[in-house]
Amino acid sequence: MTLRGQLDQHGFIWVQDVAVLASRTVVCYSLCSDFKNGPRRYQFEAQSTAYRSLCAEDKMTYPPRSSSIAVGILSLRQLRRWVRKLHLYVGLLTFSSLLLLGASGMAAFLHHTQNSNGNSVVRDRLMQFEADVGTSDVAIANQVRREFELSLALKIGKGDISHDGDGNLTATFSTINGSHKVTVFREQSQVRIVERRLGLAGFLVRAHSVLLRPSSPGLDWRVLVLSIYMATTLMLLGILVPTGLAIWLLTRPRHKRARLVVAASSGLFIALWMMI
Amino acid sequence: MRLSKAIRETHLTLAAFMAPLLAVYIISALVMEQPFFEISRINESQFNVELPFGVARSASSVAEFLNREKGISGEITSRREKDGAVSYNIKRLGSEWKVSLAWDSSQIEVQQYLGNVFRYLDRIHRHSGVRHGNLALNLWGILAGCVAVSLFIFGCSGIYLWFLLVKERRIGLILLCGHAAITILVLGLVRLA
Repeated sequence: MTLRGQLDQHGFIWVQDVAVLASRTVVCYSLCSDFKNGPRRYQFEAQSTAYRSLCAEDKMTYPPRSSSIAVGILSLRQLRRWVRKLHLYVGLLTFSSLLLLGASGMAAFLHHTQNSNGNSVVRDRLMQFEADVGTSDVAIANQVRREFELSLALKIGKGDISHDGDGNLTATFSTINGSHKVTVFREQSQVRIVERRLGLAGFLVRAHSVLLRPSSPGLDWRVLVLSIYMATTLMLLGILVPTGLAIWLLTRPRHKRARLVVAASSGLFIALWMMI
Repeated sequence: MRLSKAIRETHLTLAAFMAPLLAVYIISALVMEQPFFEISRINESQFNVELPFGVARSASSVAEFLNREKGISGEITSRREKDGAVSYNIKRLGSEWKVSLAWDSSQIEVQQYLGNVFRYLDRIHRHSGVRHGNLALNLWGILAGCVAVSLFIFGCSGIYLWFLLVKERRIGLILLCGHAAITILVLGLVRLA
């Protein structure tokens, strides 16, 4: 038995089917003027002819067995229908995420353009605090975070810590909603916590950039939920874009305006990529 | 032209416009969150360039000269004049050059910090606004703004096209409302914390 026969026996013949289908479909689309009926007819003819010759070579029976029939039966129309359904459902699932991304994109644009961060102090507290003896600055800052349960604040590293003019330890915990600036007065055994809150625009910009990184230290469960949500959105967008492109390529390959827009958009992106 | 056809055309055209840019945003979002890509890695080096006679010792003239001779271009920031020397930074997305020149010397000292392509993708994702000292950066800001607006129109036109499919209305409504409820819940949880 030849290699092809062995491949067929192991159920890999569909690879050839798909290759024939793809190549013939491309040729049919470019040659056929009657777009609606033509490609399917040509495709089936091409498939059956290719398979007949293949079977004759290996002395096998025609029509082929079920594994290859499954691909043969999947006509362009069916493929289009399934891809369209997938695109529709994924699109509906991502609609609110698209609005969120659009809003955060607009917020980032206006936020930056207006150069206003929308920060406002919402709480300024001075409280008693005993720092553990002999611990590092980072450990003290994290002790403050733990003891005063600073909402959504993450653990911080050396880079986030500094000392003010009087040598007091200061640390800023960034959160999705704003920040907590902590100043530790060791001699007075006190801590000052200034909580700043971002406006809606700033919140949207930060919220959309939270992605799943389970290894992040001290991750609040609400941030974890948001990061899972954003990761899912990213995955769904990763399906939405290719299925949309597939629908376009399977149904309207001659759509001039869309082709021009894709070319212009890609060209603009490449030009800016090189210039920036 | 019928309304549905016009909306379908708009949906397709916007999708065609956004597809390459959305692909970049999706890839860069993945790059930003995976430590594997090492976006914080920077190649640091230093070199000197001889400033020829006739080139003015102003920041803009020196920047122009460096662009012509070394291909270093970008946004000029952090300009300082101190102790008879001028120094400034030239910033491009992901890379930076710190340039300094003493008035009594013809040697331009350049410290180069070059980021990799992943760092560039990270910066391009974060870049926004139109108040930069570089035309390309401003153009990218405008493009990002256009993508943001397009997302709204694209989403709404998609909803209209879905609504035309009577058979899909029930399941679509479940998916749409379910996901909207999850979105509001998740954002609300974080915002009210």
